[in-house]
Amino acid sequence: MIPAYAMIALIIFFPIGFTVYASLLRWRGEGFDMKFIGLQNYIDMFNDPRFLNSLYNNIIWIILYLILPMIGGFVLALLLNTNLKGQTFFKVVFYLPGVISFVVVGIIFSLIFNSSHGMLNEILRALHLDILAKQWLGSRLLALPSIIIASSWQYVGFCMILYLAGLQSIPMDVLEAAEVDGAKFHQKVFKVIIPLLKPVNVVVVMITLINSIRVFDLVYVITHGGPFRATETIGFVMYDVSFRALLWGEGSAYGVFIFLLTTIPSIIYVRHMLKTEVSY
Amino acid sequence: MKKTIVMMLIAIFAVSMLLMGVGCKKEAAPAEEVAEEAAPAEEVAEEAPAEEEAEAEAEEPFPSTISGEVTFMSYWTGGVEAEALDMIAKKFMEDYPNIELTIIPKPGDEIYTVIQTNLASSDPVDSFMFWPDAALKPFVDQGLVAPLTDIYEAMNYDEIAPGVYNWARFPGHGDTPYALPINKLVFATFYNIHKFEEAGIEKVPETWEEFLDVCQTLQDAGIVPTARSAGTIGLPHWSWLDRFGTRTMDDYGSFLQSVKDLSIDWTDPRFTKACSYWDEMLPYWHPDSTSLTYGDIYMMLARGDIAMQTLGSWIIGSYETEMGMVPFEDYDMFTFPIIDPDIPIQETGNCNSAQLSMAGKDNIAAQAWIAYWMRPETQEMYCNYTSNAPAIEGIKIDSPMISKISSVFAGRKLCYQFQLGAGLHDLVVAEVEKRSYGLITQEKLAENLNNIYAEWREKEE
Repeated sequence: MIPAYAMIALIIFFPIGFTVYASLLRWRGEGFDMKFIGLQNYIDMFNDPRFLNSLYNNIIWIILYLILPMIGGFVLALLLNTNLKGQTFFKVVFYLPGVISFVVVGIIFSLIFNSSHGMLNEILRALHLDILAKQWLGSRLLALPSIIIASSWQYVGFCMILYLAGLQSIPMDVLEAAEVDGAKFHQKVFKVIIPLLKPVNVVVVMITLINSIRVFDLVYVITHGGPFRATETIGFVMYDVSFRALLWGEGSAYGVFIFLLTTIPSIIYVRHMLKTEVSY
Repeated sequence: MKKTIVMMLIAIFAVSMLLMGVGCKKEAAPAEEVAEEAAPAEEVAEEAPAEEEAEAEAEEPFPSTISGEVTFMSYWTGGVEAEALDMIAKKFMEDYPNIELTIIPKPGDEIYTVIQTNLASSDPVDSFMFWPDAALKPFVDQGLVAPLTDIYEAMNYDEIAPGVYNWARFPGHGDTPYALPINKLVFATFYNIHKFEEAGIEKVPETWEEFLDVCQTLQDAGIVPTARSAGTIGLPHWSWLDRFGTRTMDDYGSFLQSVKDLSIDWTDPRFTKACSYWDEMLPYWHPDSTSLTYGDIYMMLARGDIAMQTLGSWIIGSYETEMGMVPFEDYDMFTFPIIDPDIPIQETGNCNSAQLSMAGKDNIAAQAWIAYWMRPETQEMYCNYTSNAPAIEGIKIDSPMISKISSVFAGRKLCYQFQLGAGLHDLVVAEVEKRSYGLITQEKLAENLNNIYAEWREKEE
């Protein structure tokens, strides 16, 4: 087991440990001139309006991400959990965006959301809905939701697959018993199916939360944090501070913050949810 | 099963270690072995011409008998620039048959970080492409870039490229040059001739009032006058700040110097005045300016989605070679209009430059490679293929547009564009951007920039 532990130590614990150490340094990334400054990077970070702006954007992302792809995936799973003809085809189609590279997704939606020639605005204009043809990526209000929609399109298939697996593991006799008792469809969903999907929900919520907090890729490709930092997330700012500004001490502080933000709530949530099992 | 997985992980780990250990540079062949290889070639040559050739070679600062290996990192990863680099590299290796040149392409976005980590590593590249002036200065200050005094003297560079003299020298390092500019890029206002004709504009603007009239005329004709972008993805609005600065400040170069050496107070009335022209331009940007990239903008000009744009002269290569646009039929240029007729004409520009790392400092092959760019034939090949302006004087350029730009800009005072070092540049530009779109007042801009500078000075200490 020692080689395995050595491997884990080398590729997981050492980078984490070094990042924590680097977050306590003034390290400009120019050479190896490092100075220990304690928690000053964290103090500067929490006082930086840019960090607070990115944190706000991440909170928006979490809220919208917990609604759009999660609920969308659940609804798709409900629809596909029937003896529908062509079920397999639809499963593939809905899951396909999830296997497309985020760069490709970013480029596709940059073109769709282009205010001059984009497909969305062209359709709206063709329907004489010019008033709705906005600057999707150029507006400070609309740019972030636009990117979240793009990301949700890519992510909804993954949620669908997880929920579908959960639905197919629900014993049929429970659902039949509910029908016999006179439960309508919406009652079955809310009173029987959703409670029984709690373990799946735990997984989906945790993965969604983690992805919302560490989001970087689509922001980088579509808007690069613009316009006017309206779409900057903590992950993007960490990249910018570390690799453009070459402030590796500050960037490491961002990294540690992201790590704690994803790990601690995950542990608390999972422990709480798994304590309360549901069974019929 | 568990055992199998563990064994696989160990195997991957071992292979990774092995690959890390293999990544070492080969030592260059010792001089004695090179002399033995060269001997048969000398015996074949006729005696009298061989003596003359030997004398010429002895005078040549970088004779073709030089041997060694050179690595060169470049951000020209695509388009005409990359093709030109490839051509020059091949020609170089033909002229220097004993030198093995390896080009390492890296995208421009990553180049700061890649160069930083590479130069600070135990195996840096011998030479690399970068931008001189403020962008290169941090590396010079860290002692990661080699002085090029010997090459400048050997190639008589200060005589043949006077226009870019100062861009290779840095405050705090005396008169020592650290960069070798390989081209010269200036900013001009390029316009789509068809769109101007469509709007009935017969004469290009020469004054600021005429420029605004042209913008209004275009807009009235349903044509978007120009576009910009926001953030780091797009055409930096500092290029417009440079335009306003060169037309409203007596000595824009000295203003920029105070910006670069962190001595400026951003409430400086010169800066306030230059920024005031943003407000007059607000109605004339493309409505989606804030989501446009640099690539979007120059394509939009070519397609006629916008009528004009201030761009660097590097765009000529893309327009003519890649997009087949015909100069003076499809597009043309004019210099940015005069705002204050009492202000002497100045322009800004930039360049790409070649540098030696400290590893390349004693590598004669690396020195030969970067000096190769200064040969007139190399400059001619590069500039005519890419439609770029040469760094050195007296080069015959086929591109009529470059020839026009060269003659128009000849004699104009040229200073390096607004460019700060990594990190600070983005922070400053982000604030200027907000002001340029009218999102913050000039007072707020000055306050924010002074705060940024105060924090930066503290970190520098």
